[in-house]
Amino acid sequence: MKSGSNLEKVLESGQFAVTAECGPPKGTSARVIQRKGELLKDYCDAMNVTDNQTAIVRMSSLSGCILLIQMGIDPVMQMVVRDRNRIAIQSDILGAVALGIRNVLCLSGDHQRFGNHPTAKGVYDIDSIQLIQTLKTMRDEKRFLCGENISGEVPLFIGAAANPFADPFEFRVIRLAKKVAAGADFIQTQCVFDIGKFGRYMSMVRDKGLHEKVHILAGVTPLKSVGMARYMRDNVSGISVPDEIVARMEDAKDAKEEGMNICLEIIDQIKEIEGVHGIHIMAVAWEDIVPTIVNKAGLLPRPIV
Amino acid sequence: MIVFEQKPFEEILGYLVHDEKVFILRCKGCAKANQAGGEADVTEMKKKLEGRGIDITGSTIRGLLCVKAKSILSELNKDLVNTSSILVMACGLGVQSLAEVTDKVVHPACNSMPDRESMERGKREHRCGTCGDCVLEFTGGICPLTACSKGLLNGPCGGTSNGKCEVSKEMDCGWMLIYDRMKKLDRLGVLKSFLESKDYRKMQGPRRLIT
Repeated sequence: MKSGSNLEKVLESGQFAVTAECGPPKGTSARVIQRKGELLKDYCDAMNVTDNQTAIVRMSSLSGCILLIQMGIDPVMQMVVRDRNRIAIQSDILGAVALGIRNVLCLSGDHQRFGNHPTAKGVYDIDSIQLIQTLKTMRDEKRFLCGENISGEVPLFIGAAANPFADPFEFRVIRLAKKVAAGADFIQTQCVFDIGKFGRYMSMVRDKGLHEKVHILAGVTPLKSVGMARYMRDNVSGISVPDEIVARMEDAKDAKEEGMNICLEIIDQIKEIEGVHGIHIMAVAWEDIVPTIVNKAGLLPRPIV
Repeated sequence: MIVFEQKPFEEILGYLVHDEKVFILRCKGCAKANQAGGEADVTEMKKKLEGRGIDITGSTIRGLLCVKAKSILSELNKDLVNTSSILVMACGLGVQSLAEVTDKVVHPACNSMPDRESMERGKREHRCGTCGDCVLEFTGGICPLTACSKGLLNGPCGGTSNGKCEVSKEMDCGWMLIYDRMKKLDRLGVLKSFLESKDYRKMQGPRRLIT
């Protein structure tokens, strides 16, 4: 075991993992995190806490993770390279490990221009792959990026993101291979709506044997409304929502129910793809639906490992 | 080559106090590259400031301010007797060079822009980040530091859509350009190599004048 986290144990035991996402509040209320934790605790193996997603200032991922740990939940601390240089990153990792965080997801981060501080200076001192390598060096060699020794163990389960839907498509598997070589233990993908494209991507992943070196969790997002479906299709870079899915949402009597059904169908298809070891549910502003989805997808009870 | 553009007039006006006696000095060194009107610029600035009650003691166009600030200043000595400040229409380098050799207040009239002159006159581009640690060998002669909005060294982020950057649908994704170029050169294999984090000390410059 590299970290001994619940997520690592579930994946290493060969079981199909479920992770969920928790967006921290634009404020100081611990209750927001705790409520989401209570809601999702029994329906996932680990919970991601996002790191100022879409570059909007929110409670820090690290503190959100601590609140979840206090509830007995295994958190995945998301960390973007947009806001921290290599000094702050490594410092936060030491603190996170000291406080019991074991899973870290390494990300570039949405560009600061999208957020509520578009005039901010983006840091990008290191990139997301260099972040993976940094964490691996910290864990395996007990050294900082500069080469100096770290006192104490750094048990981490290192995560990375993959977007099979962004351009250039053919490069996406090369980039995944780079992340695996740099030290990624698990991957959470961008949300899958275009199952055909995801299937082609996974086939390229298998051709390179990457599915045997890293645990891939496919991202899913239940669509809550027609507006959300259209918005994600038209305005969110790097997400591919086929017209057919938007049309289904438009034609549905009950858009929420249809959104959930589409999500369940996608999960069913994902489960059949060789090399996918779990799902990561990103129910943006619709966390309430996650228990129903996990239940209807036949993924209960969650394993005790 | 530093490209500059004039600050908004109201901002310049805000620098000046009620009874300030201002001399306008425009650098002609980079005027061609900056496609600025030279004389016309200065005349217009003078007219606008006078229209708002500012006392203009004189104006001139001289160059290159960045390298000849001292001699330009001595030539202007007489004109500057009744002047309390100099409004400098030049890049940041010109303003600083002048500030170094005069005790008068120096006001910048322009913003220096992070782009370089391209081969095509008047078209602005930001190509070289002058990082001191060139990686163009590995990226098909396209710089990821300047072409990618995030300056990522190991490939595109997840925000690329239809070959465009997540920041703007008008902007090419730098890594898409790199990928296409490397594909054309049949050098995609090079993109598999891992680029280490950069030594950003090299990008800082000496922080002093080199003599």
